Amino acid sequence: MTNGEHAAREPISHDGSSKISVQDSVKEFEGGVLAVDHVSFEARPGEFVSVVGPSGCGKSTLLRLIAGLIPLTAGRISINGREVTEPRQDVALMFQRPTLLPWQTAVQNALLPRTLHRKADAAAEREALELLELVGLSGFEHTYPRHLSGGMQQRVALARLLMVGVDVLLLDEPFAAVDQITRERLNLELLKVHERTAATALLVTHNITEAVLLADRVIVMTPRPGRIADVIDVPFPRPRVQELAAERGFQELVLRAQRGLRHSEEARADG
Amino acid sequence: MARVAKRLWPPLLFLVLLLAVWELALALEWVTETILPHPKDIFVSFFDLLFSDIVWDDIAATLWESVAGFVLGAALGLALAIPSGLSPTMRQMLNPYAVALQVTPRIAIAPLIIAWVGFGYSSKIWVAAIIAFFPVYVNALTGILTVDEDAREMFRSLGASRGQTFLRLMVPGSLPVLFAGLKTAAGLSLVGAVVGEFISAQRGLGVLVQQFSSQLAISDAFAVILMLMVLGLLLYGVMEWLERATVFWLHDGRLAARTRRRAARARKKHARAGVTVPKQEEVRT
Amino acid sequence: MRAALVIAVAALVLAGCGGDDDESGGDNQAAQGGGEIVYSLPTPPSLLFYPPLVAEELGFFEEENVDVELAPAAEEISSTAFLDNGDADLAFADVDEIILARSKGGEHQAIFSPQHTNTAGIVVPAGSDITDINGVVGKTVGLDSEESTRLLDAMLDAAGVNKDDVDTAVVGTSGALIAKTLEDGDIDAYVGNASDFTALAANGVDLENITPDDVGRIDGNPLAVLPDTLQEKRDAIVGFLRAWAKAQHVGQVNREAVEQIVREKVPAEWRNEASGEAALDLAIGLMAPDDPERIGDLRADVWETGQDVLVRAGVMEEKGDVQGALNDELIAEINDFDRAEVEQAAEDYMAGN
Repeated sequence: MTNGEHAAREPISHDGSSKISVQDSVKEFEGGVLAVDHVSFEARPGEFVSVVGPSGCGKSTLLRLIAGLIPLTAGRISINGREVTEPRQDVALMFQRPTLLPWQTAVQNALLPRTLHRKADAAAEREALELLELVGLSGFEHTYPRHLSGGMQQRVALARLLMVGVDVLLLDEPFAAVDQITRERLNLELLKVHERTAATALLVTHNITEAVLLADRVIVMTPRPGRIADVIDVPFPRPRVQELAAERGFQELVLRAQRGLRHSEEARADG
Repeated sequence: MARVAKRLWPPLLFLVLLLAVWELALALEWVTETILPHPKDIFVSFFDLLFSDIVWDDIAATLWESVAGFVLGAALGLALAIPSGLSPTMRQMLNPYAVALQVTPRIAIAPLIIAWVGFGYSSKIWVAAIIAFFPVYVNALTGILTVDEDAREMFRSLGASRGQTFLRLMVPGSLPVLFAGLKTAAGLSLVGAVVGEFISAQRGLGVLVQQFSSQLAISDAFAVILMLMVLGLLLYGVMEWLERATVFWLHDGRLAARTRRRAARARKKHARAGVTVPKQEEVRT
Repeated sequence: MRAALVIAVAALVLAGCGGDDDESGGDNQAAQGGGEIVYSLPTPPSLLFYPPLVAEELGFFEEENVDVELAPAAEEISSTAFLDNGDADLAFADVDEIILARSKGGEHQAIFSPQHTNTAGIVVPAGSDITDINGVVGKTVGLDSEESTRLLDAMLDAAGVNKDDVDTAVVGTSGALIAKTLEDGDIDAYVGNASDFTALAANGVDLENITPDDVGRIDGNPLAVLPDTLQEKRDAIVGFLRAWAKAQHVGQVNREAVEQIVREKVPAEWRNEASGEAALDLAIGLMAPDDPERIGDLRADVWETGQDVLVRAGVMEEKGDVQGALNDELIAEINDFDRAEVEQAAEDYMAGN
C-alpha cells in the first residue's frame, strides 16, 4: 500500500459479501468545506476495522455518513447490500458521550432500543442484565447515571449498543473522554463483546494503540480533506490481550501508522 | 430532627437581625408607627385575627383563587409552549402575544375579564392565571428548545418516532426548567389573586388589607400581609416538594432511595423465581 | 398519575370559566313575582353601604321577593360599563360617570339616589392657614387617585383659581400615608373620600372640610340603569329599591340595630373601634334624605350643578340634557311602605338579639 496523495483503493468485491461498502464517497459541507474526499473501502462480515487520523480529518464525518445521520454529497454507501439514505435499524451506534437518560437506571437505559420498539419484555430485561454483567457492571443495574463514573456510563452505552441486537456496530471515539486506565479496560470489554457477537465493527479513534489492538485492519486517514493514506492489516490472532501492545510486531504497525499520518501531514503542508 | 434544626437556624438568625433593625428604625424615628408598626403589634394582631372569626373565609378565598389560577395559568402556559416549541411558525405567531399579555396592566383588562367571566371567583382566578401564565410558558418553551442534541441524535439513530422523542426525551428533559417556572408562577399566582381582589371582590385577604388600611388598623393590615407571606411560602414549599418528587434525578438522596427500592424489588422477584442476583452496590452520595 | 393530573386540570379550567360562586348573602328561594337583581357597588360589602346588609338581615329582600347578588368593583373601573355589558342590572355610579356615559350616546338613567351628600371632597389639617378653596394657591394638594384631578380642577375653576398655580400628588387611600404626608407637610390639603376623612379623624388626625357647597351637595352614589333593563325587570327593581329604602330608613331611626347588624356582617371593619363608629355615623349621615318621604329622590338642581362641575373641569365640552338623565317615576312606589312597620321590625330584631 502506498502513502501519498492518491487515495488507496481497496479491491471492491462484487460478490455482495461486504457488510459495509463505501464507494468513492464525498462529503462537502456548506461553505465549501470538503470533509471526505473520495473515500472507498469495504468491511467484511465479522471484521473489525479501525479508522485513525488526527482531529478534524473527517473520520467522524465518515462515520456519520455510514450511519445515515448526514447525507452524502457524492458516492454510495451500503450496508448489508442496501444503500444508506437515513438512520438504519440494522446498525447500532456508539458515540463519545454516553448520552444516557438521567432519569433511568442502567438497565432501563440499556433497554432503550427495545423500549422504543415496544419489545422490552421480561426476556429483553434478562438479556440487558446479562449484557451489563458482560461489560462488568454487575451490581449497578439499578444505579442512575448520576452515580456512575464516565467509564461506567460508557459501559452502559456499550450494553445499549448490543441490545439493538444487530451485527453492524459503528463507534465514534467511544472512549476518548475517559482516562487511560479506564480506556484500556474498556478496550478489553469491547474485544470481549466483538468476540462474543462476531459483529462487523467500525471504530473511529485518534489513539493508534487502541486502533491496532482492536482491529483486523487499520485505515489511516489524512487531515482535511479526508482521504485514505494507508490501510494496514493487523494479523495478530484473537483473543487479543493488553500485553500484545508491548510486542515488537505491534509496535512496528504503530510506527507505520504514525508514518502514514506524518507523511500525509507533510504532503499537505507542501502541496 | 437535628437536620431540621440545622436548616432552620440561618433564617431564624436573619429574622432576629431583621427585627432588631426594625425596632431600631422605630426608635430612631427613621419611620413612624403610623406607617410601620412595631413587630410585636403585628404578631399580636396576627394571632388575634387567626383566633377570631374574621380571616378564615378570606384565607380560603384567596387560597382557592391562587391555586385555581395557578393550575389554569400553568395549563395554558404548557398548552401554548408545546406547539411553540415544536413548530417555529407557531412560535413566531404566539410569542408576541404571550409577551404582550405579560406586560399589560391587569387593571386595564379587568373590565374585559369581568365582562367575560362575570363577578365571582372566576375573575380573580383569571387574573391570577394571566400572571402565572408567562413564567410557565417561557420555561416550558426553553425546556423543549434546549433538548440535548446528542440525545436527540441518539433517539433518531435508534429509530424513535417523533412522538416517542417528545414523550420520552423532551418531556422529562424539560422538567427541571419547567419546575423553575412553576415555582415562580406559584408565588405570582398569589399576587395575581390579590390584585384581582383589589379590582373586584367580596372577600379575600386583598379585601381585608384594604378594609384594615382604610380604617387605619395598620397592625391588622400588616398581619394580613404576613399571612400572605406565609401562604406564599407554603405554595412555594409545595412546589419544591413536588419538584423533588418529579425531577428526582437531580437529587442524590432520592436517586439512592430509588436504586435501593428497585434492587430490593428485583431481588424479591428473582428470589421467587429461584434466580440468584448480584448484590446491588451501595451508592455513595 | 398523569391521567389524574389531566382530569384535575380540566376540572379547574371549567371551574375558572363558568361557575360563579354563590355570593348573595341571602337565600336562594325562587322568587315569585319578584326576580333576580345584580347590582354593583364600588366596594366589597361594607357598612358604608349598610342598606343591603340590613335589608337582608331584617328580611326586607325576602318580603319583596327579590334575590340579590352584589357585584363589587374597584372605584377606578367604570360601573356604567357593567350595565353596557349586561354584567349588572343596576350600578351605583358617580354623577359625572352617568352624565359622561350619556354624552357619549348612552341611555343610562339615574333612578334612585340614596346619598344626598357628596362622598368626595377636600380637607385640610385643623389649624391650617387654608380656610377655603382659594387658600390652596401655591400649595400642594394630595389626591386619592388620578381621577380626582377632575374634581379638584372643577373646584378651583369655580373659585377662580388657576389650576397651574396648584401642585398635586397622588397619595392614594392608605390612611397611614395620608396622615403622615399631612403631618410632615408634604401635602397641604387632601382630595378624597369622606370615609377616609372620618377614619383619619377617628384616629386623631383633626381635619377641616373646605369642600365648596355646590360640590358638597352633589349626590354621592346615584343608581344607574339602562331603560331596557328597567322595562324588563321593573318589578324586581322596585322590590329591590323598596327593600333598600326600608333599610335606609331604619338607619335613620335606629342606629343601634344597624350597628349590631353590620358588626356581625362585616367584623373586619370594626377592628379599630373608633374608625368603625365614625364610619357608621358617616354612612347614616350621608344617607339622610332631604325629604324623608322621598328616600332616594333625584334633585334636578343638584344634577345641573354637577354638570356645571364637569364642564368647568373640561371633562365635558358643553351642557347636555340633565333632565333626560333623571327618571324619578319609581320614587313614589319605592317610598310606599309603612314606616312604623319597618321600625317595629328593627325593634323586634334588637329584642331578639
